[in-house]
Amino acid sequence: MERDVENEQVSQDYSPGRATIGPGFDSVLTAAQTGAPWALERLYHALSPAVLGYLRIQGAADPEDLTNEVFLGVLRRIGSFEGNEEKFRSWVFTIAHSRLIDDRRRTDRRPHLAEPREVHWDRAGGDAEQEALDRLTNQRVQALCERLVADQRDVLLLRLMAGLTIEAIAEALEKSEGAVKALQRRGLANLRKILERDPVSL
Amino acid sequence: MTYFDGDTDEMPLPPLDDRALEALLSGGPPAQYGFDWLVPFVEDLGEAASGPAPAVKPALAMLLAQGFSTEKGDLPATAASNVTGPASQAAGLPKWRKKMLISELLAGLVTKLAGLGMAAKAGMGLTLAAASTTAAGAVGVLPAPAQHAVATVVEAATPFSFPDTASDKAGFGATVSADATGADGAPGVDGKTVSDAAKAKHDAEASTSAGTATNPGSGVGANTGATGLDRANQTPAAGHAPTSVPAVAGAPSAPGSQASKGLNTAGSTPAAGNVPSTVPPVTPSAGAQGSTGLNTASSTPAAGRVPVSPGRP
Repeated sequence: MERDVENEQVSQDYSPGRATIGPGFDSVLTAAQTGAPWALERLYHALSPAVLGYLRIQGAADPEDLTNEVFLGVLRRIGSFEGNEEKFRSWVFTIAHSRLIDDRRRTDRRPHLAEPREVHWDRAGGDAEQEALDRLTNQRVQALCERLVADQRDVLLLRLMAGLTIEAIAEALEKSEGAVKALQRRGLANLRKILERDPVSL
Repeated sequence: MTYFDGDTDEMPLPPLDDRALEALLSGGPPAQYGFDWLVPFVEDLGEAASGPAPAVKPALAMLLAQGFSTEKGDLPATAASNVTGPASQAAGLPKWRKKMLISELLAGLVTKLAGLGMAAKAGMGLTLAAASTTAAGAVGVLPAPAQHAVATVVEAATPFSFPDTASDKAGFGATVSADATGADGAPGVDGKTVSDAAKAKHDAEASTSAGTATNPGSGVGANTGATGLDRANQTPAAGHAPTSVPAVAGAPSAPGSQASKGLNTAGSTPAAGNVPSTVPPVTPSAGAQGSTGLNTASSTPAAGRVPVSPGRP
């Protein structure tokens, strides 16, 4: 019962596969494309937490700084974007993934498999207990994902965290849809094995 | 065989379809059998991605606070230029792709040149000519006057200096002057030194320009004092030179008729009326004018040793 209440709260705060702005997205996008500050800020606050979480789970060296870079690029090119909110979300995460690859090349580092880094959350005030739980959850998910093969991790996070379709993932990763489906299938199987062998991972 | 290349002793999972995924992402119960185990993982992913917006750095903060103008030249930001894909590898493009890019570049250049107007082509030609002349001047391969002109212009308009062969010869006059005025230590006009210096300079330039003057004595300049006939005999037409001048048709054979011919010529000039028709007679005193050289020799101090008759030796 407690879990159901928590799930309901999560679905209200974050629903990867659903619209984050809703029916007003078109007007927000139009205003953002004309450079209106309120629209730019609206898009940033709607998508930046998911982008930050994705980059953090992927082991980016400085996820907050990288999120800023991602949105600088998004807002710089927003005039050329056409589509609905779902496509906009896919577009933003495609950019985020590209910046992540650049960041990995730049820092020449790979995600640690055994020792997940300490994650610093920048929550303004709030509940200390909730903050500690969030930190533990984040470390747990990050440790679990780091045990997956890189390609499988990319597909599963873009699919389950960002809510991208197979087609959008294939475009973002520059792979065929068949290859993405195969990676998703193997990733889920490996994830299941990890969870069965180590139930406390989650 | 399994769907996911997993262990064969485990129960295979069916593929996760989009409907089941949407149900998972929306936080509801799994709509597909066999994915209950995935629900907690998806929920944790949602929690990890549901935090507050990250701290905004100055560049993004300025953009969010001020917005941007969509007018040309006012782009909102310059960072993250590679938003459409990751940056290229440090190793760069493969060779075949580089060749293809060069070919495409040349083809595009030719197409653009073909589309230019006549005035644009002429202007481009003049620009290329000026650039080529300047480049040749920089190398120093232009003729001396042109090299001097290019070097003068370039040195006046730019901080660069070009080789100038004309300037190299400018000091020769000062050297000759020093030799002539005694500034070199030898007082008075040193004609021999001046002559030797000029000849040496001339010989050096002649040998440089001729290129084949390995034997200076065989050159044309070595024939100092030779007559025109001598030099003509050195030409390939030497064997065909006539030994005598052919007679002019209608010309008088007697030399004395030349005078009458001169009178005839004079008669055709504007002063024809003033021309005397006859030659005045010679006076006796004037006859001395027609005396021979013996008469003149008689008035010299050696008159006593002058023979009385101009006999042959």
